[in-house]
Amino acid sequence: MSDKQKIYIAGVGMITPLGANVEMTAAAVRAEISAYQEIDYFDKDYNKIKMATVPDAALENCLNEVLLKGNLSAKQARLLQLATCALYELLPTLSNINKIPLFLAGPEQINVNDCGINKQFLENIVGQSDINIDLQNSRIISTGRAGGLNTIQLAFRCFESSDQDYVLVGGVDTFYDKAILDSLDSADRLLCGEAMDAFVPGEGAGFLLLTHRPELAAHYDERIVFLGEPGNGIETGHIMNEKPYRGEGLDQAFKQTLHNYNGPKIATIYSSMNGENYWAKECGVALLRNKAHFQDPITIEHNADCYGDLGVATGIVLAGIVTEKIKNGRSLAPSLIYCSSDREQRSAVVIHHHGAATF
Amino acid sequence: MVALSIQNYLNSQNAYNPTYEQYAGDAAFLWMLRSIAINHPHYNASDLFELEQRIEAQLDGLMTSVDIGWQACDEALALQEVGEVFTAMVIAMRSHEPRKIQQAVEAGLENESATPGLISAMGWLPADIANPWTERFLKGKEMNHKYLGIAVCSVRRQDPGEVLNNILQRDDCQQHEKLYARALRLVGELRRQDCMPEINAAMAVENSEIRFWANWSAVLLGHRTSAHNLKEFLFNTGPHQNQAIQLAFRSLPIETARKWISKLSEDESQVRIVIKAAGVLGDPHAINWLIEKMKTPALARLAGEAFANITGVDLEQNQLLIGPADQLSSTPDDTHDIALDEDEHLPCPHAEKVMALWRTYGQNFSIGYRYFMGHLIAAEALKETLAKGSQRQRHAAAMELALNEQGVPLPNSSARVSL
Repeated sequence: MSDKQKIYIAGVGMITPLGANVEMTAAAVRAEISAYQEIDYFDKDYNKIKMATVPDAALENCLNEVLLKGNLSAKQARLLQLATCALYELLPTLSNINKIPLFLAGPEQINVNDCGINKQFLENIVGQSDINIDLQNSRIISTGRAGGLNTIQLAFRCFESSDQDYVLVGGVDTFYDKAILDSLDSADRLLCGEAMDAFVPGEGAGFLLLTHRPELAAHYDERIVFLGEPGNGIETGHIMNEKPYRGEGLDQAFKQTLHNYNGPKIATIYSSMNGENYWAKECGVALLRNKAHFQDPITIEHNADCYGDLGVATGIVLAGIVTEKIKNGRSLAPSLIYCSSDREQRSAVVIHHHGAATF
Repeated sequence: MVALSIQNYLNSQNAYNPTYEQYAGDAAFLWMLRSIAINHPHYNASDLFELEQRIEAQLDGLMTSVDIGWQACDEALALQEVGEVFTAMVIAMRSHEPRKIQQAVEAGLENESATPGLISAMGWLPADIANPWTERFLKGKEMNHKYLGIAVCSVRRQDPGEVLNNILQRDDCQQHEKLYARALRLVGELRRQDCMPEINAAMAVENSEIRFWANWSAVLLGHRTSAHNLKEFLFNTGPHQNQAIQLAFRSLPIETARKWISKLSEDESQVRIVIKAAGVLGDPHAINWLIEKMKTPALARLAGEAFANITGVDLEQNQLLIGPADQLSSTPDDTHDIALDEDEHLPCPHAEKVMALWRTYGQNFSIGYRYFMGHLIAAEALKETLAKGSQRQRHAAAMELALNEQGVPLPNSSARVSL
């Protein structure tokens, strides 16, 4: 993989049910802290469901209502709060950058018409944060969990076709919304009562400041963390339909991202698996079909155990956590992050640090 | 004014207080678990390492925001429990803030049962953080601080130099029983031959605690005849009985040791002590008797451990255990003692199967010689056991190594593991 096929992480910002920044979140995951708790939402059998939420107090005061544009729904306001708080960490770096494109992934539309993220949402981020975002060249996508890693792909295209030094990518999502919880409840996907094959919804936001120039990432840490180009796949038999589920979408995504990779074998896979049985099959298929690239035994991490399913924020938050681990010397072998949407999209990316892998 | 500000950022961190409380509670609990595990027969160095990684993860979590982390530690300090003191001391030291360190030290010294938490914390931390404070404690005027400094040197096996001689000679230090006893113990642990005059002086002291540690260290310094002075501690149930067994039966001439065991066995209430002593001595002469004891449910596990320590036979691997149903009869009566059962996690041997094995392989062992883990006492095998054995075997190997290798400090088999 040539230098053009790598981009470097120059900064991370996030907020999750476990922490207001990447350091807090990564430490809590390592300490196996669980943010699961019962909330005041009752499923159709009158059981309280479990959810992992960002503490309300963490989101207080992070919106200045005077500066808000348009009328926001409760969900949009929550998403905006999450996104704004996640940007705190990046503020010192971002305030020195002029006109930066933002590629933001918003919630997947699961039986809900409005994902909540639109142009006005981006304008509100700018208004609330005073970051000089290049709105004209910014993009919004809503492809579900894979969306976070899809924004990294957009960053690659942006660096190829422009002279931008930096791109900001991110993902923001919340399941803390009655319409979404109702739809998941009707599909028996919420963890409550005696349910075993179910997941704990979460919420969060994550941002990565990316650059194609390693020297610009050097200030962040002496180990310069880079991402290979993400691979994508389509799973026709996804969880929302009845078609045969073969696990081929994730295999495609793995193959695409590993195609140009000839570095050391991948030691850890960070997965978007959330506790539902469905997701295990495609992981098994992709691992078997690409095993030449993986160490044996390989470690599979699924941090949703700790902070719930972060939805579209999963990929970016995982990349941030791996970056933090690399900074602390706790993950020096290459890793692969993958995310699977509820619908057909699958995405995977290799993450490592400069000097150790050969692309 | 835009919503993004540092103040708002800090406020948002404060919202995660419960996570920090959980870190503090979990770190204290896991430390407690470790303090028990260091003497458990089913833990080895790599198991300890895993547990330590979990403790470190909680401590790192607390350090992600020192102020919120310290707040959680401070609240937990009110309990004056040993694990909480450990956690607070580590965080205080890592924060480099003297006020926090003072607070943790005061809490740890106020309650004697919590002091081990302070000492353990200082042993846990890297040298560059712990050493400057160890020096300050040793130079301090307060006797409790000196005690803390000496205890830290003890767990880190760090030589305080002249300070140790000074403490052993000063009247005011000798008046502080805990300090004096720990300093004497440190002499043996570090094998400080130059302190032998102070050890000799302490042997004549009336206080039994002081006398025990003086004799204990004298034996470690090579004066094996001092093991005879441990007889009073060994024959009487007390806090030093086990330590006396572990040292005396490794250093006494084999004939004398056998006589002591015979004498001990006259008192039926000391049967567990006799089994331990036979295991420590390592003379295969006792094997048949140990196998006989395996038939008594209350003694079977201990006898099995002694057998394994002498012969090196892994009872589990060789399928020499009785089935779970038969083990029920050996379950201790839970109406009496609520203390931790020292036989817990020891495998329960099948006496007949063990006897059959011994009939086949016993001829490879010579009576009248000392064996440990199936080998005559030799440095290489001891080092191997120290690295890979179970915790109790590691303790034994450490003691044997110190007694058989000149000038080497007694390895601390309870220290934090670095793999």
